[in-house]
Formats: sequence, structure tokens, C-alpha cells
Amino acid sequence: MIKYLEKLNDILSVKGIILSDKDGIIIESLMSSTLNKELIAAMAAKVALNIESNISSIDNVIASHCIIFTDSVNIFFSILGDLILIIVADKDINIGFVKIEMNKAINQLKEEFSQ
Amino acid sequence: MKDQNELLNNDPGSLFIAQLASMYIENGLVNEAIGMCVQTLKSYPGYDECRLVLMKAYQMQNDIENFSINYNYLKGNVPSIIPSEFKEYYNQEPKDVDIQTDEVNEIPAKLEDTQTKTMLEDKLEESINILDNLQNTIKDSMKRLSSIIGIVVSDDTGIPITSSFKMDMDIDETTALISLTINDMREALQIIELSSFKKIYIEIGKGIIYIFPLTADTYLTIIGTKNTNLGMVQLIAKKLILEIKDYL
Repeated sequence: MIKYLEKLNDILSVKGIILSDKDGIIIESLMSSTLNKELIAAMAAKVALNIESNISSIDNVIASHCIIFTDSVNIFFSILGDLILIIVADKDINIGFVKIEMNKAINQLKEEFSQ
Repeated sequence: MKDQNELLNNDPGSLFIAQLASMYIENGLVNEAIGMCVQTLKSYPGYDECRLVLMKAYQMQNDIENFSINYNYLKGNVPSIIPSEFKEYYNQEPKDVDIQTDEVNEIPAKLEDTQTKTMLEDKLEESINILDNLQNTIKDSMKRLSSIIGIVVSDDTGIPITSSFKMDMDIDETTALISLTINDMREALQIIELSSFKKIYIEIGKGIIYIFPLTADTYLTIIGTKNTNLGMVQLIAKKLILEIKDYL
């Protein structure tokens, strides 16, 4: 599992990776930034709940993605079933590339967890 | 009345806007009531009950200019529903202005009234044109991107300002969900002590939602399919934001 996260963490401008469940409990994390990983996981869980309840029922097959662009960082979420993969990155990151890599990683992680 | 019936047919819940705005006024939220009524009247200018509440709010703020615009609208369309309280207020205010401005002004009162009316009518027409332009700007952008399903401008209470959709969608429900999402995101960002967002991108199943803040409490939302080119959406949004900000 950690190898998938390390691969994501190697992407230029990525500040940290968190894998959490839908309650915001951290499963694994690689955070180099000063941001508080527990708080970010809690935030991600809130976002996931929001997407689930307000916009659509979460599909267990297709991952939902969310990107929040702020003045200081970009925060990426991939939500697949009970897993939430979070990437905190600098503003100048290649968004398309991160999306592709996150999609790959979340599917691989889901597969690994279902075994 | 025609608009009011149309509004009732389209969305029966919308008729509560006037009541809600009245409650806002009762609770001292006069600016919020004005915002709500103004937005509603942009889409449904014939919603007279809402206009009366708006006039009440303007009267409380002693905003004679905006009060008069709405007073003249009702006077020209449904004079019978204007309460005497408003008539008194309208008739009383210009006298004060006369005293303050120029006591030796010899322009006949009738001529002055006509000029004021023309000015107010021009202003009203200008506002209608602005709304038309806003709607056209959005429609033009929709044409440029075939994979876009709809574009909405709404405020953070979920009230639609203007929108255009390629398919049948419940606009009120859509904007309500957008505002819920925005407010939840704001709350979530506060958890990690980050300032407000610059934009939000959400991808679910076959659809995407892109939300851009326009002003402190208004948002532009672009809804598209998964085939929508994100870069193009951003470019169009940038252009739209510049144009819409002028109007707002």
C-alpha cells in the first residue's frame, strides 16, 4: 500500500498524501508539510460526506474527485467506496497529471483492500 | 400578476420568498431581504407581493430612489395594490428634497414629476438590459462548449440569479445544492485554517461541477459531462467572470 502513496508523493510540488476512511480516520500518511494531517483527513471526510449527501450517492465503482483551489495550496480528494485519498500540493502543480495518478492509485488501493 | 402565476406554476415554493423576506425584515435583516427580493424580481418582475416587501425594506432604509423605482412600477401596472402608507411616504419625500435643494426652483411640479418618471423608467430599462446581457453572455458561452450542460449564477443562499441549461433541470434545486456544497466546503476549509477557496472542481460519475466565486456571496457554476475539457472550462469561466463581475 505504501508504495502507491510514495509514488504519488514523488510527484513534483506534492506536499503530502493521506489515505483515510470515510470517518476521517487516517489509514496511512506521508506528510512533509506543516499542515495538520488529522485536520485534513477530517476535512476530507466532511467533503466526501457533502458530495455523498448533497450531490450524488457515491458510486462504489467510479471514484469521485474533488479539487479545492485555495490561495496557498491545492487539495485533491479521490473518494472510492470507504477510502479517501488526499493530496496536498502547491498551487503550480500539474492538475491533469495528479488526477491521472490519483485515479490509478485509488483503484489499486481499493483492489488491495478488497483482497 | 402574470409573472406571479408563472412563478407559482414553475415553483410553488417560490411564493414563500416574499414571506421569507418579510421575516428577514422583522428580524432586522433588511439588506438580506432586499437582496432576496431584488434577485427574485429580476426573474419575475410581476411578483407584486415581493415588490411590496422590497418597498417596505427601502422605506425602512429611507432609500427614496429605489423606493420610487418600485413605486412607479406598481403605479404603472397595479396601482390598486399600493398601500396608503407607501403613497404618503412617496408624496412626502420629494417635498423634503425640494426644500433642501432649491427653494426658488420654479419648474412646475408636474414637469419635474415627468422627468423623474422618465429617469426611473430609463433606469428600470437599463436594469432589464443588464439582465438580458447577462443571460446572453451565458448562452454564448454554452454554445462554445458542446459538453457543457448548464451554467448558473447564484448566491450563497441558493437563490438563482441567472442560468441557462441545455436540458430540463430544476434550477432551484440545483442552486440550493450548489450553495449547500459551497457552505460545507467553506466550513471544511475553516477546519484546516485555510482562507476561502478560489475555485472548486467536483467530478462524480459522468458529470463535473466547477464552482467559481464571483463576489463575496455570488458564484458561477458550470455543470458539464466528463468529456468537458477542463482547460476550456477555465478559460470560458475566466471570461465570464470578468463580464459578469461588471454587472454584479
